[in-house]
Amino acid sequence: MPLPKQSHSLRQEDFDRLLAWLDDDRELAGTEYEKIRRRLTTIFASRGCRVPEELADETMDRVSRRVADIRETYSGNKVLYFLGVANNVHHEFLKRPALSSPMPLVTERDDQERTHACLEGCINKLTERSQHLIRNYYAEDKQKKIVLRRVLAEQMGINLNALRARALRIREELQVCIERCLTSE
Amino acid sequence: MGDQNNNSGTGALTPLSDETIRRCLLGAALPNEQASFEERLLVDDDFEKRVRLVEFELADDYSFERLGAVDRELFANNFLVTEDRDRKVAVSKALRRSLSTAADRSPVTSPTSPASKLWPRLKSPALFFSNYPVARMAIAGFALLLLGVFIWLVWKSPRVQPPELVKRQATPSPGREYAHPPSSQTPPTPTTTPITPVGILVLQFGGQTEEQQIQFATAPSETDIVRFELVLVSHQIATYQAELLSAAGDRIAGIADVKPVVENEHAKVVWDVPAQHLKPGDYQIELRRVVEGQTQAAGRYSFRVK
Repeated sequence: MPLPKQSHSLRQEDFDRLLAWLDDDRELAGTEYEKIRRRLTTIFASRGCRVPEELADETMDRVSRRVADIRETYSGNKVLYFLGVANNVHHEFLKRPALSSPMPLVTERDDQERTHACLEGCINKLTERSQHLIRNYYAEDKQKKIVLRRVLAEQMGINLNALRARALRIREELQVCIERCLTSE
Repeated sequence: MGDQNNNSGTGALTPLSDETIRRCLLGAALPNEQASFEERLLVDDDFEKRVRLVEFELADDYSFERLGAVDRELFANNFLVTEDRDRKVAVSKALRRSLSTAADRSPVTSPTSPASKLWPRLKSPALFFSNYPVARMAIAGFALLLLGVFIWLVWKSPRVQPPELVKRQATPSPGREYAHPPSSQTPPTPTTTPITPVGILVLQFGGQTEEQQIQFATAPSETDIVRFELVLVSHQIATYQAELLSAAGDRIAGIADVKPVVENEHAKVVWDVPAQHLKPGDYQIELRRVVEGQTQAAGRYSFRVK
């Protein structure tokens, strides 16, 4: 896995110090860095922040700058230290003037066509059983959907919860496959 | 730090349901739920996997137009804020476009489907009977007979009101009531009806369906009403709109231009709904606030009719 991108406002030695604090193995530290950043993004989004990725980056940068001071004395789960800093970043964000409107989700027609083409290819790469499941899981809306999923679960000898979990895992596989397909084009 | 599930320093982690995760992702969780969500998300890899799956489900529900008005607004404002999530929605839309009509091409029961060979048809009684029209007709006849007996029993039995449901009386404020679909034969019922409700259900925002239930002792008549008291999270000077939704997200009834009443320092929106709309099942009421012509999500209330 490539090392995480260092933000422009961060000094190289602070960034290196953060990675070293996260793990002795630089590769594993990079993975950990991305994981924490991704989770902080989800947390900021769930707090209703319009720019969660920006705030997650700001949190990562601040922790990087503080590692030199805390690495010898800090005990406990390091991840929770990020949460404390994230709370400060969030408080400051709340004092900023509010953004006027949400960013619109713009999907170009070409993008839709490409996504659709990739989807077909990715579905065909699934096992026969997964294809059957995913095609039927997403086949119908509303009441018919409920009946269809019940029959599908019955056929597979599993309950609706297990069916949902399987379908969503296949959905996740499709997402990865489609994103790979889109970037390779 | 390489430890995948290092929980040291976090104490016992509160279990969170997928429904709670969903509320957190929509930015509509209660403060204690939000705190548990954040802590678990940071320290628990398995929990993060669950969160990612719920994200996919939300993106799907949005793209397949299965979200109610309030959740749709929360989704647009609080969920669609990263490129990663935009991409999820794009794939969900492609899935809808590609597969939502796929039942015709690859039905679950299709004998030509390769999957139907993998899973024997006999596992499903419904599928089994679909091969035997006589058996199907016999079952239908038996069901009709049972329905007739049930209707006769209901007609004969005296009406009993469940007293525990009637917590307190409230005077509903006038509002414009409407029913879905617009072509419904059910006439709108004025909210200031003098009829005593067969039950009053006080609903709290974020309350669990299991704790907010109503049960009719007998089948409700055409004139019976159930009074809902929707306790507001915060009281603002505004009028409100409410919509009653089935578990599948179908709109059943609605009310607009209703003003909240204040009782014991709690503001609430009071809404009388014809009891006949309420068949056994799970429901939600979506509440929207109207301030200077703009509508805002004001809460979602879950309840169950037993």
